[in-house]
Amino acid sequence: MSILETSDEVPTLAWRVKAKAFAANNKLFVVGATGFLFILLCAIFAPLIAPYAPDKIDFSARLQGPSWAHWMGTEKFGRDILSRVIYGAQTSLIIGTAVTFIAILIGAPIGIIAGYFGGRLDTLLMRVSDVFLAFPPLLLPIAITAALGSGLGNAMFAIAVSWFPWYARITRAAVLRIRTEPYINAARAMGVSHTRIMWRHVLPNSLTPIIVQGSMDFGFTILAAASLSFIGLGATPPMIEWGLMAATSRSMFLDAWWTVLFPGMAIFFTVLCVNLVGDGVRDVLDPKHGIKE
Amino acid sequence: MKFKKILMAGAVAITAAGALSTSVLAASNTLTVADRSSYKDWNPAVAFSEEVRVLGNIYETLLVLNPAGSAEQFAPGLATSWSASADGKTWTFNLRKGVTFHDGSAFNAAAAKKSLDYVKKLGKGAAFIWGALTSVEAKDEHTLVMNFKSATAADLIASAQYAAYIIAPAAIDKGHDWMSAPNAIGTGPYKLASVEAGQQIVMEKHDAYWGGWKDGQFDRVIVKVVSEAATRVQMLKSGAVDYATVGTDQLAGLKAASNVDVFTADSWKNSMFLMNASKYPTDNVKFRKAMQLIWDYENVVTSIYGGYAKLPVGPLPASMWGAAKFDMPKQDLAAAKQLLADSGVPQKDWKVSMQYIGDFKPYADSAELFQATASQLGVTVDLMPGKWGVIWGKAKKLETSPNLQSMSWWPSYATPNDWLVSLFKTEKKALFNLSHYSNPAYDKLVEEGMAVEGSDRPMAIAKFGAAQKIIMDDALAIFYGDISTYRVSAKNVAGMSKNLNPAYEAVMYYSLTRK
Amino acid sequence: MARYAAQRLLLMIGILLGVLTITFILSRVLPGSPVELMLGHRPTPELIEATKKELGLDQPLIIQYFTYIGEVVQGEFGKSLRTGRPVLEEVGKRIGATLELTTLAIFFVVLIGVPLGVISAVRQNSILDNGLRATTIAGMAFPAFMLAMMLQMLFYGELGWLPLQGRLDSEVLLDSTFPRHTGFFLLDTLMTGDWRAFGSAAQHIVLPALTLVIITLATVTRITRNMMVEVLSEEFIRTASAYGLPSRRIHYGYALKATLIPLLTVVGLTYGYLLGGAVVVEFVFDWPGLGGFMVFSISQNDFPAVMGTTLFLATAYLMINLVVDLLYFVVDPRLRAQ
Repeated sequence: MSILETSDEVPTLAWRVKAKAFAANNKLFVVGATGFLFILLCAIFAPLIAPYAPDKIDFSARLQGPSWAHWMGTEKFGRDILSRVIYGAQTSLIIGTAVTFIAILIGAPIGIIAGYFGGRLDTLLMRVSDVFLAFPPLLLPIAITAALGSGLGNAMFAIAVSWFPWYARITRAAVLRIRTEPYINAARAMGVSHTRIMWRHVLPNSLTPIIVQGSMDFGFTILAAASLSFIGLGATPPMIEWGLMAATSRSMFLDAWWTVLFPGMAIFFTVLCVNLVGDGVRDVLDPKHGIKE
Repeated sequence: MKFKKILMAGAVAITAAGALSTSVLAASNTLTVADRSSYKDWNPAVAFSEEVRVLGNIYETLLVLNPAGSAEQFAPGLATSWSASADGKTWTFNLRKGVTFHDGSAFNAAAAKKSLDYVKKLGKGAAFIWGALTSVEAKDEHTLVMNFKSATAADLIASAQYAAYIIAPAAIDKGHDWMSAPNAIGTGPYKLASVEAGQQIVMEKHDAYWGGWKDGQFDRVIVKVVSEAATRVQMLKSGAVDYATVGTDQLAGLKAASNVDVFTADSWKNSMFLMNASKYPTDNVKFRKAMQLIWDYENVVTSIYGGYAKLPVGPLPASMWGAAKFDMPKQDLAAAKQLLADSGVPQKDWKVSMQYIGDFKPYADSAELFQATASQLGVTVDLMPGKWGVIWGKAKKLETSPNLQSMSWWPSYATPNDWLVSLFKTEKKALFNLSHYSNPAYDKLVEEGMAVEGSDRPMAIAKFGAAQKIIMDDALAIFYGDISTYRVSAKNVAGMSKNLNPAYEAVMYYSLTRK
Repeated sequence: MARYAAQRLLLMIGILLGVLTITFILSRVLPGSPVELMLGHRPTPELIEATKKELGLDQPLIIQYFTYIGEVVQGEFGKSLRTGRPVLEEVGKRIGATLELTTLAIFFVVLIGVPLGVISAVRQNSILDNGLRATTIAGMAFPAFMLAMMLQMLFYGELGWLPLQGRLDSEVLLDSTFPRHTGFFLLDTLMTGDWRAFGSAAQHIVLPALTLVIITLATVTRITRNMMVEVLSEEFIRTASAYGLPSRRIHYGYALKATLIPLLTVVGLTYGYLLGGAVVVEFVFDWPGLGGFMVFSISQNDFPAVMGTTLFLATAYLMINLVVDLLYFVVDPRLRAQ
C-alpha cells in the first residue's frame, strides 16, 4: 500500500516541478493558454453566460452604445453584442478546428504516401501540391469561394484546400527522416503490409511536426475566414460569426464604432491567444524547426 | 531610439508636403466627388448602369424629363421644340442652334441622326427603347424627323438616361473601342479630361457650352474612386469631398454632421421580394400570403431604410401614374401562422430560399430580419446573397431559382407598363418574370392597357388597375417600399436640391455652385 | 548555376500550367453567366446568345481550355468582360502599385523584424524578449480590414496627418506628368525630382504599408529569433565569445550571417503573405493595385480578368521565390561547390 502511495507521489511532484519550470520559461504560453481556456469556456457555456439571447431582436434598443444593460452595446436590430460575441466564440473555434483538421486530413496522407513510396509518385504528388502553394495565401480561398458561392462551409473548405500542401510537405519530410530506420526495414522484411506500416509506424512518428504546424495555423484560419466574410464570401446569417458581425457593420464604423470594434477585438484576442499557445507548443515539441520546410 | 526619431522626422516632413498640396487644391474652383468604382461602359450607346452618373454630365439628350408635379412634362434639351403627327408615328424635333461638341464641331440634324442610327444599329445596352423606330431623317440643318412603325411616346424615349445621348460624329467614327478607352465627345457642360484606372475621373468645363457659364460654377470635377462606404462618409464629413454616394444606414449620422446637407424626394423606384409561383412551397397562394404577413414592413422602412423609403400602396410606386391603391398587408404573425396551417403545406416543408444582391446592405439586412422573424413561426429561410450577374442567372432558370428573389424596379421611361410587363407577364423563357408567373387573364389586361396607353389614358389606367389587383390577389411579391431619392452634399455647395429628379441617376454638376 | 536556374525555370513553367488549370476550372464553374453581366441589366435573349458565340463561350469546355492556354502562350490574355479592354493592359496598369506597396512593406518588415528578432534571441526569455514577441504576435492577430480602418480613423480622422485613401492627391495626379518608368511612384518621382508628387506618394503609401508591416512582422521576427537562438548555442559562437570578441560583432557579424539562408526563404514566403494580405488592404485604401482589382473582378464575374490577375500574382510570387533560390547560391558557398 505504502509503496503504491509513494510511487504515486513522486511523479506528481516531478510533474509539478516540470510544469513550474516550463511556466517560468514560457510566460507567453501561459498567458495564451489561459486566454484560450477562457474563450473555450465562453464557447462551451455560452447559453449560461450570455446575458441575452443572441438572436433576440428589439428595434426599440437599436444601435445603442455600451451601457450597463448592454456592455458592448447593441447592433442594427437591437441585438445584444456581448451575447453575440460570446456565442461567436463557438463558431470561431469550430472554424479553426475544422479547417486545420480538413487540411491535415488531405495533406498528411499525401505526404506519407509521397515520402514512403518515393520515386515518380512522390514527384507527382509534391508537384501537384506545389501548384496550390503557387497562389499567394488567401487568393485561392477567395477564388474558390467566389466560384462555389459564399457560406461558411464553402469558406472552410476553400481555406483547407489551399492550406493542405503545408501538411503534405511536413509529413513527407518526417517520413523521409524515419523511412530508412532499421525498425521500418525490419517490419518490411517481416512482410508487414505498406498500409499497416504507414498507419502503425510512420504516422505516429510524423505527428509532432503536424501538431506544431496545426497549432500555428489555427489562428491563421480564423483570420482568413474573417477576411472572406469581409469580402462577402464567408459566413451568412443566422450564423453568428465575428468576421461577419464586424464586416456587415463597417459602414457604420464612424457612427456606431462598437458594432465593429468588439467583434473585431474578439477575433484579435482569440488569434493572439492561439498564436501564443502555438509559439509555446513549437518551442516545447520542436525547438529546432522554426520554419516550414 | 535613434530609429524612432528618424521615423518621427520623416512623418513631419511628409505632413509638411501634404499641407502644400492641399493649398493648391483649394486654389482652383474644383468640385470633388467620391463614388464607388463601378463604371463599366464608357460608350453611351452601350451604357446601362451607374456610369450614367458621369456620362450624364458629358452628353445630352434631345429633351429633359421634368420631375412629377412640374407645370411642363418636358424641358428642352438639345431640341428646343417638338411635335408629333396625329397618329403618333412621326415626330419632328427643332434642334437648338449654336451648340458645339467638345471637339469644336457643330451639333446639327445630321449629327443627331448619325448618333441615333449608331445606337440603334449597335443594339446594345438600352437600345431596345428605340425598337419601334424605323428611320431618322435630317430634314434640314436644324430639323430632325423620327418615323416609328406604331404610335410611340418619342418624347419620353428621347429624354431617357440610357441610349438617348447624342454622340459626336467624330467619336462614332473612331468607334466603340476608342470610346471605351475611355474617350468621350459630347455636347454637355463638362468634357472628359482624364481617367486614372481605379483612382479618379476628371472632367473640365466645356467653355463653349450653350448654356453659358456663371461665377461660382465649377471649372473642374474630380470623381474619386472610393470603394468603402465608411471611407466616403469620412471624406464627406472631413470636407475632403463635396458630394458622395452613401448608403441609407449612413444617413442618420450624416444628418447630424454640421457640414453636410441631406436632400430627399420621391422616386419611381420600388423594392420587393418576388415570390416564385412555380416553385414549392411558394407555389401555394396561402403560403405566399403568410410570407407577406411575416415581413416587418414598419421596421424595414424606418430602421433599415432609415426613413428613406415609404410603405407602398400597391405593386407600383405611388408617384407613378396608373398606380392603383390597395389595402396592403401588415405584419401579423398570428394570422401568418393560421395561413401556414391552412395552406396544406406540411410543417416539415416550411422552408424557403431567399436570394438577393449581397453587397446591397438594405437587402441583406431586410433578409436577415425576415429570416429571424420567420424562424419564430418555424419557417426556415435559407439566405443566398450573391452578385447580380450570378443570382440573376440562377433566378431565371426554374430549377435553380429561389423562392424569394430581391428586386428593385424603375422604368426605362415613365410608364407603369414597364413593371407590369417585365415582372409579371408570361415569358416563355424567364428574363425578369422571376416569380415564374403565368396568367393569360393578366397578360390580356396588360396588353389591352398598352394598346391604348398613348391614346386613351383613363382606359389604360383601368386596365392596368385590374392587372395590379390580380398581382395583389395572387400575392406574387412582398412589396415593401417605395424608395426615396436622396443626395448628400457639403454645406458649402449649392444646388443639390435640383438634383432629385427620379428620372436621372446623375447629379448635374452644372447645376451646382460653391457658396 | 545556369543549369540549376534552368531546372528551376522549367519547374516553374509546369507549376504555372497547373495554376492556369485551377483558375480556368474555377472561373468556368462560376454559376450565372458573365455575358449577362457584361450586357447590362436588361439584354434580350438573342443578344446573349450572339455574344456568347462571339466570345467562344458556346464551345465545349475542353476547347475553351486549350484555346485559352494557346492564347496565353502567345501573350494574349483575352479581354476583360467588364471593360472590354485587354486583360494584360488592365494588369499592366496595376501591377506597379501592388509591387511598390508590397516591396516597401517587405523592406520595412526585414529592416524592423530582423533586429527585433536578434534582440529577442540575445535576451532570450527576458522581459524584453517576451514583450517584443507578444507585440509582434499581437500585430499578426489583427483582422487586416479592422487594423486598416483603425489606422484610418487615427491618422486621418483624429490626427489629420495622413490621407485616407488613394495613391496620390487628386490635383497632383492631375498636374504631375512624371514618366512612369518603374510603376513605383516613389522612384519615378524621385528620379525626375518632382518633389510635390514624391511627398504626396510618400504620404499615401504610409498607411497601407504600415498595415501590411504590422500584420506580417511577427513572421520574420519569430524566425530570426528562433534561428539566432539555435546558432548562438553553437560551437563557433561560443568560441568567438571565449576569444573575447565584442558581442555586437558576434551577434550581427557571425550569428546573423549563419541565419541568412533560412531568412531568405522566409522573405520569399512573407512576400506571398503580403501579396495575399494586399487584397483586403488595397480594397480598404483604394490602392489601385491588383489585389483590389481582383476582388472587384471576382464580384463582377469577369473571369478573364480574374485569371489574368491570378496568373500574374502567382508568377510574381514564383519569380520572387526563384530569385530567393538563386540567392542561396550567392550566399552559401557549400551549394556553389556542389
